[in-house]
Amino acid sequence: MIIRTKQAEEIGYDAAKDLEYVEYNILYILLVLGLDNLNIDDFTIDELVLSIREQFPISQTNDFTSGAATLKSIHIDLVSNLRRLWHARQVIRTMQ
Amino acid sequence: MDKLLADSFLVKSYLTRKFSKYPTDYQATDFQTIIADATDARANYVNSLPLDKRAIAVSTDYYIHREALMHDTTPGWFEMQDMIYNHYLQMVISLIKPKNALLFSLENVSSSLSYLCDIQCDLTVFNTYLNKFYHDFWKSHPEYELNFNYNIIDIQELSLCTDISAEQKFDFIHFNGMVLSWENDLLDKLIELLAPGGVLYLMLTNDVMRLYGSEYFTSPVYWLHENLSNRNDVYNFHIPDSVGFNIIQKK
Repeated sequence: MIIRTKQAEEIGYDAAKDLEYVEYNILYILLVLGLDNLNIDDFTIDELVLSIREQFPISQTNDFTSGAATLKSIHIDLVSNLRRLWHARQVIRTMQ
Repeated sequence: MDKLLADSFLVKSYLTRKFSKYPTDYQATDFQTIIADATDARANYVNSLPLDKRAIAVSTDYYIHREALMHDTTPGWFEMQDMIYNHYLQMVISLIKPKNALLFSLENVSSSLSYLCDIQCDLTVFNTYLNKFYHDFWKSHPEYELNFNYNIIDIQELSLCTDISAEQKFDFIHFNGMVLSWENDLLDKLIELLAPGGVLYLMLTNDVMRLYGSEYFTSPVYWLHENLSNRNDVYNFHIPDSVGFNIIQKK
């Protein structure tokens, strides 16, 4: 493990490394959606959320084992994490 | 914040403090001004950024709207945050007295930092923008006096490390459960990094109570709990209070 030691007065933050990690996770979502153009700036959040809605549609279900439950679970997981990561990416980019 | 809920936190906080005995002179209320100023400054900063706040970009996600919610001045708000962020954490840290801790952010453990420094715990922190917030809004506060050295590690660095030696292991790890809902490999790695008897303290493990609804299995954190319950190398305790906590001890 590479560990950087910081003195008390130093700001221990590397925005480029943080952004690299966040974008890696967004790229993972792009791959799940079958978007093989690996440039995040080519997409808007609208396009990505709509793609998730199309590929993993939500419907009401109380059956844990149903396909609808699986699709809904994947939908919520992808959308909530995409929003969180997209938000983080915006915040980090203001710090660079 | 709902007044009845706020009042309940005033009572909870009062009784919890009255009936708890800490190993140090820890009293989060001493920190109240700093916490209030730092959270306000952070909220003002984030709310001033040119971020996409349309429904499709943020929806009702609590974690994205957190800064907007931080401005609440209802009596009981501070007590609620103290209970959520500090009380359980202080309890676990006091019980295990870690010597080598890995923290998701300094900001999330701010009220316990002085105790960790008192017991000479080595601190390693993940490289996230929350650390910049800690320096900009906590450490720069005129009444904040704590000074300590610490180590920084990039989260992506964990996936590269293999054959972790006993000296590299931690006896306390503090992490965000929502991040782990997404990354099973990272959960495996964090548990691998724990020394025997060490504790992984997860917060935000109930999807802001949505885990306990009728469609619990669609919550992103559901699979985190499934993965944890299927492991044989840890003891795992879920605390279904407020934002949800898991206290995971390596066998």
